[in-house]
Amino acid sequence: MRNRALSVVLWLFSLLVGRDDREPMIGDLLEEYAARSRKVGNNRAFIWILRQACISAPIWIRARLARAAWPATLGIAMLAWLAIAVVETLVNRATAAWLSADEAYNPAAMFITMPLVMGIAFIATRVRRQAAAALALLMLLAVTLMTLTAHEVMPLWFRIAYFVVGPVATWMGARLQARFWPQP
Amino acid sequence: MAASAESLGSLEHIVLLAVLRLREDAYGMTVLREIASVTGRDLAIGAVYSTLTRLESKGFIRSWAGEPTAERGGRAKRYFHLTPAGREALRHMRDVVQKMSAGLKGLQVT
Repeated sequence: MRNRALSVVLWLFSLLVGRDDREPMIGDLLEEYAARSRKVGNNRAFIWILRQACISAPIWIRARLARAAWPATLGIAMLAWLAIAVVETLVNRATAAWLSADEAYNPAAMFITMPLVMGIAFIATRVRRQAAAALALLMLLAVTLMTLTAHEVMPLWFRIAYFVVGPVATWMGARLQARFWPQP
Repeated sequence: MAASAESLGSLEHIVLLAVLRLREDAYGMTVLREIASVTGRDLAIGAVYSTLTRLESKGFIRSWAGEPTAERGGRAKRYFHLTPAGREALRHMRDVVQKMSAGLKGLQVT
């Protein structure tokens, strides 16, 4: 039980810590935990780790925000979002015309849009590494707001797909970028 | 040199001195322990690492990875070592403190 709690705290810690510091710092904490466990027992050693996590978290959050340069990242994400909106409108209209399908709820349009969203996320990630995460967050926020405020009745598949397709396509675009064109 | 030494904050100064004192055994946790045992300051490990990273980006220290150990869950230590620029920065800070302290004999510092 204690080991699981320790793993959870260290995992949360690792989410905040920068990539370069992650491994050595978690190693340092484990080393100190082992030393303190021998000296004062597991419970007090765990409390020490917990305290370190609590007092270090604000420092890391501030450092990450400073490094991420959020205004620029958000700007790139907004531009990408705008590009997606344009692409989505064009694809919806084109598929509706070609397939004589419903323009609003058209699965074919969604399938065609997905790789295009991936491409836009790919480019956005190239410009700014955190842009895809910001874009996915923006899309989720927009879809949530639209679902809550929309008066028209949407098919269930469309609601689910709308929540999943955009963020997943964005994530896949970012992964492809990291896999095939890693930044130095 | 003066410009870079001026940009040395108080925590950076203390961490740099801890790295110097620890010689070949300076890594995150030993720096934290050294500062705690000498000054009594109970720092966050996050503060120590962010300061070390900042000092490295200023060129005052350099780091390298050690061997992974079982006690650390197979994770390597990140050792730190002072660069000539770091030594110069410390020398500069010592000179500044000495000059500013000169002539204060007999004055109460409260």
